[in-house]
Amino acid sequence: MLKAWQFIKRGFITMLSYRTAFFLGIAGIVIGAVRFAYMAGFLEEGNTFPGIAQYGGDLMAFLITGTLYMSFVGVSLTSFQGAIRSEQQMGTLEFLLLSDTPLFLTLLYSGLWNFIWTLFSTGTIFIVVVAGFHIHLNVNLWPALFILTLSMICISGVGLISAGVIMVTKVGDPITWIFSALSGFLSGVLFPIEMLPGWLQKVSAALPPTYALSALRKALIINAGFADLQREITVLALMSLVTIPLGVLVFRQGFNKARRDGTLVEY
Amino acid sequence: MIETEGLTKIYEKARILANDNISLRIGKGKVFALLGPNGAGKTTLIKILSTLVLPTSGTAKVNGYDILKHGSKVRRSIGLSTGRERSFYFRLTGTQNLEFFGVLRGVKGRESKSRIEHLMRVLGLWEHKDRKYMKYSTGMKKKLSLARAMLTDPPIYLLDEPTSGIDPASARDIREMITGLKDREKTILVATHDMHEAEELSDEIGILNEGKLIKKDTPENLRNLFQAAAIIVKPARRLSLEDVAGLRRLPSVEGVIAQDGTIRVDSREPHAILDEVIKVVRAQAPLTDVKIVKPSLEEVFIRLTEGGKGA
Repeated sequence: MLKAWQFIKRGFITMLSYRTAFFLGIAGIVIGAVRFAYMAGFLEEGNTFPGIAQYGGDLMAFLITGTLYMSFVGVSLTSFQGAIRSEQQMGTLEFLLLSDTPLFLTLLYSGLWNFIWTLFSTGTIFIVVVAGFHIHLNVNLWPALFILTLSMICISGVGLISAGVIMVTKVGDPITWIFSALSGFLSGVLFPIEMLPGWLQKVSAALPPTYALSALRKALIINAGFADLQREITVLALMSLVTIPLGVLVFRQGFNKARRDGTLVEY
Repeated sequence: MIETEGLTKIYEKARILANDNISLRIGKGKVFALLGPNGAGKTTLIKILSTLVLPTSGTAKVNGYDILKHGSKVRRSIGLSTGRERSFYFRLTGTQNLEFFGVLRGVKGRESKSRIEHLMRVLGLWEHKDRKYMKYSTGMKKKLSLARAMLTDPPIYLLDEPTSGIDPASARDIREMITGLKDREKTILVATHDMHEAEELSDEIGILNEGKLIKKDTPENLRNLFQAAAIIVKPARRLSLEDVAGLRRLPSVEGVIAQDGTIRVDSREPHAILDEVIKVVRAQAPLTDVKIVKPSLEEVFIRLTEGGKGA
């Protein structure tokens, strides 16, 4: 028993020593609890909740699209830093940098497999759930794929920022965590954003997944076309114009700092 | 050709002066061996020349291209082999690894297949082509690293400890490959700990210590740097140091050692004191042998790096 206690104590002390990770962990618990409280409220009202009428009024269709879309948010956010970390661990990063291929493209290609796998796995889950639970969908495929791609481009900019940060800090970066936590909570993934208080809806309006999810649901559930999704497409495109250049800038800064410090291969 | 001028690298965070004002020139078809103890700055220099690390000051040109202004042209001009085993994908085979890196460097299709087969055959890896990298021996991993560096047949090679930690047969194969590259007019910079390797392979040797290039010259000139290392005298009977105490008083004598029935007199000017040494020893016993030995490259290296900086 004493031995088991020593292991628990060691784990606790170690966790406390990573202060940022510790506080982010606590914040994650709080956000998770609040999110589920909102979700419970949403489930109580179910299909009658007015906020989902614009998406066809089907609670299951709302939840499945929201949950599966978050997989793509995860891939877009973490593919760059994941690729860097993986190549650092393999010891291959330097040799990728020596190739004729620009680093940005190399990292993009590194994330392709994850994207294809996510597309396959979420697509399969989507089809199985939709067929198994007789969820009524009226899919407009091309606008749906376009929105998915556009939102991934937009969020990849944030992913590039986080990759640039991790090049320097070497440990987990708070950007991915903050973006994931806020998106999961405030973008209408598990409950409509109309349930949130006004000030939180303003934060929600600043997050790309809010627009992507809204448009994606409309395209997948009520057959919305490009003309119906103009507002979301415009906002996502404008957000991409900010996130991508900013991401490239931060990543380049981080990359050059790592070259100056001689820490490209350190992790 | 590789040229550096006043190349300096300071790792600010760690407060390490890794390369201190290094100027060197390696001509086409020449092998330059960079010798130095651990932490001397050899790997940093190679990484700067590969554009993987940015210098603090100074300039360098690789194949005529400035490393700061024309990074991508520099990268296209070099083949890099690092001493690290972890630089391939462990779960891919040797061939799959080479194909992957080849495509990234523009070697594809039939050209890729024939080039990979040629390199793997020459390096004795062909029979292991379908084996996963993680199952390769250290020697095979080093060979695969050299094969990757050679995939595009670049004019410049930067080889960081290409034979360290491997069996003599594999080391010989790699050395032969490097000699072959030299014969094909490639410019090669080899960082190594191995004096014999440096002597065997290189046209010129640079001795790097604490970031400073303290000496660069041909292997022959480096050995001659200390004209001779010692006079070895073999008396007919075993003598103690007390018996030949007079040797220490001779000019230019740096040390006297009695070992295995011989007396070794270390001196910077052995020819000048040879007669005196013979006289002192012969006073105690007849001599059976006397010789002046030149220092090995290892001795030169130790002398230069331990005390006689810039000697």
